[in-house]
Amino acid sequence: MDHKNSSKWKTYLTPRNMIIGIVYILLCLMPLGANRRVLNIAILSLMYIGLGASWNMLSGMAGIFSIAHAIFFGLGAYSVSIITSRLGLHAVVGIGVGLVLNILAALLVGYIGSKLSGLYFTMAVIGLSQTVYAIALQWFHVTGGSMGISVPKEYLMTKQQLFYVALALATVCMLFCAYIRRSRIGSNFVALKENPNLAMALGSNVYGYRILATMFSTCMASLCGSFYAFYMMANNPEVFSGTISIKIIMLVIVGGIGSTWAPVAGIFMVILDELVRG
Amino acid sequence: MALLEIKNATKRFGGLVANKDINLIIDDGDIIGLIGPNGAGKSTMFKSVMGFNRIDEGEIYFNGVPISKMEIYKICQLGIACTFQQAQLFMGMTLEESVLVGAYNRHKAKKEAIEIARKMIEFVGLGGKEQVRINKLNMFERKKAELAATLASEPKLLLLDELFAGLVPTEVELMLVLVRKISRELGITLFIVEHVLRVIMSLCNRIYVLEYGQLIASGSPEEVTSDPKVIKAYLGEDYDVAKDQ
Repeated sequence: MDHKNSSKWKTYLTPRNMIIGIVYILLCLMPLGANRRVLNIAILSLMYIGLGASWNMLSGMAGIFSIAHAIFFGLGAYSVSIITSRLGLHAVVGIGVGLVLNILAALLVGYIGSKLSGLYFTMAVIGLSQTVYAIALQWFHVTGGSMGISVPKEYLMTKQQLFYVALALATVCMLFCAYIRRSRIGSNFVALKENPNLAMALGSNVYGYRILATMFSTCMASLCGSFYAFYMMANNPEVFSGTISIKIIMLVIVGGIGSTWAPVAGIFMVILDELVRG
Repeated sequence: MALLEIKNATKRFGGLVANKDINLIIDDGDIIGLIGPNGAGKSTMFKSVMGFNRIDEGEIYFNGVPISKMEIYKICQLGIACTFQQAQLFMGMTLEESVLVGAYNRHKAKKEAIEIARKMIEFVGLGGKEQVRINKLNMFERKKAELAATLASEPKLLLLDELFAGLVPTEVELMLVLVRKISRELGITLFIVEHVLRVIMSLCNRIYVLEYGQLIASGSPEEVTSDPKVIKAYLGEDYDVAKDQ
């Protein structure tokens, strides 16, 4: 095989990549022509692609089944809302706090999941998610209880702006997933899913990689959650709900769990869901 | 100094003593065999060395470092690798990537690791199948793939647990050539559990015999096979060697 630099570009110009490029450019032009409803669906879909990529990295690649993935999403959303509206700090601080909270959550559940078998990780995530849900519902002064909490109106963005942010978010998540899958870390993730004992016998620190996978995944979900807060401008404890978790899981499984493109291939599930809702 | 030294190692599973007071020394460059009837504790001992089991008493030293309480992946990083009784592989991966996982043990950069992986795939004779998925390979190829992955982790000591089991005679011959090549060309010390005695006899320069968790004999292949205790363990109490001949 030839690996010279001159031929490197040619290897990227496959028909598949060209179709992806054309679709992507059309997607970039979409806000120019589409109406509000179509844009809304597109924004949500792009956000779900990001969430799907996040879940796919944890469950598809690393084989750690997270059944309540919305917890990480919700933490990102609530961080932004609380920091901006209650403390009056800049949104970037909120996004940062969301990431930190999610890394802490990842360390907690990841540590449990790394030492015990898959089901215990699932249990830990469910436990954490119920706890956080209860806090969001009951701690009225901070979270606004079931009424929810809104983001200050200076952060209001037009649908076009939101669309491009969502597109950037989905792109970053997908590229990150694709990059990780080809790297040393990705090979180790898949190795620990396929056969943890063999992976360990080949010198891969399975515990470390499990925690790392959880951390990557929660950070992506957190960013999507923070975006959701700006998109909705208000969020209530329903961001922790099972519906969102199930949607994420469904779209990745339908798209082909474990393959890098799964969230994109399965996104029609979310689009159909939104269309039917009308 | 011995490469691997097992000192007074005992492993119990509840009331069952799987390994009792094992003492064993492997020097650099050796090919050591471990034989014994079914259930004698051979695999248990292998698992203890690799870190899948924790021994209850005694200690295992690798290059003078005690490893009996070490994590498995750290033991591998020190330089011990093993193949499993049932060929263990990453079924969903391509051959190249599964060997790559082993190569990442010593080489963090992907370029270097791929080079090592390709070299090892070539070495075991699977060249040209790099992009084939593991679950498309046959038994013999899987065993070789597993071997390639463990070799890519660049061990000093390689534990082979019944590598030859389930192979037809011609494949056994090919595998024998390969195993000799591993010892000679890569300079890896081998520790082999095997039921195919022909393999053990032609490969090993020293053999240990286990029965009911205890070492009952050790020595060169000729010494071991003429040891009455070994004959008794394999063929039974009433067996009279003299009468049979």
